Order: sequence, then C-alpha cells, then structure tokens
Amino acid sequence: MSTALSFVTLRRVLALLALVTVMSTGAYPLAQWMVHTLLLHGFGLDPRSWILSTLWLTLSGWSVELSLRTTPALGALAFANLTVGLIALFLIKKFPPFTYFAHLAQWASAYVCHLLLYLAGSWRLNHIWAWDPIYVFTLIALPFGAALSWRLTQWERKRKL
Amino acid sequence: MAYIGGMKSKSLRSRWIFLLIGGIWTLHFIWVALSPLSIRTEVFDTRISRAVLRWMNERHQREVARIESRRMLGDVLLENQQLKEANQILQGQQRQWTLDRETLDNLSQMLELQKSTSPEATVAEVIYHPRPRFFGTFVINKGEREGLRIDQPVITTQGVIGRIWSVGIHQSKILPVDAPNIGMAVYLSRSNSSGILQGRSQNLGEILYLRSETSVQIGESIFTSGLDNIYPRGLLVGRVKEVRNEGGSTRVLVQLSPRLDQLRYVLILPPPTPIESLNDPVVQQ
Repeated sequence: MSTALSFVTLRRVLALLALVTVMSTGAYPLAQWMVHTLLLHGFGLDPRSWILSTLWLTLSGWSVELSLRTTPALGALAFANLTVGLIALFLIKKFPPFTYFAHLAQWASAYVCHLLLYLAGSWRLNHIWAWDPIYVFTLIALPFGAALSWRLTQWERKRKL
Repeated sequence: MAYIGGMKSKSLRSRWIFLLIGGIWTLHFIWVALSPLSIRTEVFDTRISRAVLRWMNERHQREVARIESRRMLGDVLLENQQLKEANQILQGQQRQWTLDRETLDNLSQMLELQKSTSPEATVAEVIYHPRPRFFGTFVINKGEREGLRIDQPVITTQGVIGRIWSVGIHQSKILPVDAPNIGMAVYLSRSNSSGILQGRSQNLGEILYLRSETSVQIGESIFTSGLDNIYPRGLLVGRVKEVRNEGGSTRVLVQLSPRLDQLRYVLILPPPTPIESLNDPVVQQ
C-alpha cells in the first residue's frame, strides 16, 4: 500500500499562517512574541524536514526583529532561533515526548534557553540588556501553546504523518 | 554486490541539506559573535545599511507627505463646505435685506404721497392679488376697524388704483381701475373734455361719452375730474393709447398708469364728501 505523503501538511500550513501573523503584528509586540514562540517551538519544528524547519526559524527571527527594530544591530533573534530550534528538533527526533508534561518541559526549557541566548546575542551585538515583560507573559501562557502543539503532534501520530 | 546507488544519492542529498543548514547557522553565528570586527561595520554600517536606511527614510517621507496631503485635502474640503454654508446664509440675509429695502422704499413713497394728498389717508398692504384673473379684486389688510368705508379711492404714486368695493373687519376688497364696472369720471388734459372711463382689463380702459368733435391725441394724459364724487380731481389715470373712429363715434383706449400686477402698498384717500339732498329745505337758524 502506497504511503506517499503530501508536501502540504497541517503543520506547514499552520507554520505559514503563524509566519504571516508574525509579519503583520509588528504594532503589537506581545501578540507578535507569543505567535513567534508558537511558531518557533510548536509549528516550526518539522520532524519531516530539516530544511523547512530552518526556513521557519530563520524567517520568524528576522521578521520579528525587522518589524520591531528596537536595536540598531539585528540578527540575534534569528541566531537564537536557529541554534535552539535545531537542537530542540534534534532532541525531539531523538527522544520524542510521550506525555504532555514531557512535551511541556521540552517547550519550557527550550524557551528559557532561547531567551537567554537571544539576550546574550543582543548584548553581544548592541551592548544593551533587551529585557521586556512580554517574555514573562509568554512564559505564563506557554502551557496553552504547548497544549496546542501537543494536540497537533498526537494528531500527526494517529495519521502516521 | 548489492546496488547501493540510490542510497548513495540520498545520503549525498541529506549531506547537502545539512551543509546548507550548517552554513546558514554559521553565517548567523559569525554575524552575532564576530560583530565587533571592522569588516562588518565597514561593509554593513557604512555602505549597505546607510543605503537601506536612506531608502526606508525616503519611503517614510513619501508616506508622511501622502498622509499630510490627504489630511490637507480633507481640511480644504471641510473649509469649502463651511464657506458654502456661510455663503448660503449670507445670500439669504441679502435677499431679506433687499426685500426690507424695497418695503422701506415703498413705505417712504407712500408717506410722501400721504403728505402731498391728505394727512387722513391710510396706508395699507395688498395681501391677496388674483391678477391677471378677470374681475379680480385686491384684498388689503385694513378694514372697518381701521376706519375704511366703501367707495374710498385707492391710489399709489403711479396713479389711481381703484376704489374700495367691500369692507370687512380688518380687510377690504378693492375694485381695480381696469374692471368693466368701474365707471370713473375723467378728463383729457390737452383737449379738456370729460368722459367716463370703463375698464377693459389687462391694464386697459376705454373713455365713453366723449363729444364727437373732440380731437384726442395719442399719449395725452388722463386725470380724474372729480365729477363722480368718489375720486378727487387731478389724479393721474393713464394715457391715450389708441383712438378709433367707428360710425361717427370716437373710441379712446387708455393705457392705465399704475402696474396693477405689481402692487404692494397703496394709499386709501378719505371718503368723498356726501352730496346734500337738494330737495330738502334748508333750515334757517
């Protein structure tokens, strides 16, 4: 029986929608950062395609920085996205989570690591501490995003995608 | 040996993908980690970023100019609308002032006429005007309460208008001078002969009972003779418009002086002096 899979999957469609939302919500930093986090840790990590994952990670980082332009030198967020996202994708493929709490733990640790790396990169580039309360709000809202991506992962497992 | 070409090509493809991903990550790493290097600041900050920033600034300036022009256009349209409304109000005021000035002029003329004729004369305003209807009468805003009586002559600065036909409490009807039943005693200024004027409507009249040997000239002025004991002598009635000789009799058509279709204010002269009964004996006191 043929099991040829379509290139267009629900995860990729959601990732594209999230990227468009990130690009169009530059005037609302909190909403943009939340959607960016969802794209980074939820939809962007595509176990079937390393290159697509890299694309989502890079584009989402540059989109946020180019729309906000809070610092004169950009690129720290894209670098943090690529570094943490690719490592997280490797870990997900190597040690796939079988419970929601494991999934949430992976999310939260990846989020914290990503945030620290972004802050460090931003400090390296601009010599400023780019702290903002929206990072805390996003951390509080993290279980909702993790639940959404967990449901997506479960659905993909049932469909054997 | 087994065929492994496909596996080889697949691993090569995977290797290129990972090389590409690694390249992307390395570029970002160099970008972030080696940022203080002069190569980045020289190339990016002085050549590329300035051009990009200049382009973005120009775009921003164009956008600001577009928004400003749109806002200015809105302001101009709003101001234009306000000016139109103000203009309409001023035009209404001007119309009202023109009407007031005409009213004032008419009343001034009536006052002058009152001074020159009789101080007991009454000024009235025409409030109903059925012209050019045949047998049409005017209605004025003065009546019995204001001291008016039937047969009082009505005049304007242009001449005789007619006489009061009926009197109400606060309103009266005027029989115009071109009505067929007017019957006004007149005389011709140049030939000095008398006759009776009868209305022919449309601001026209005809003089009846003229002597046949009377020579009447076109354009001759016609005045009231006072012989009918209604109109005082010497009021202008009109001018001779046409003279016809028909079977030995002379028909004189008169163009009446006042424009009866343009009346607004009229002057009502005092009633005529009643004629005494000559049959009654005079009581000697």
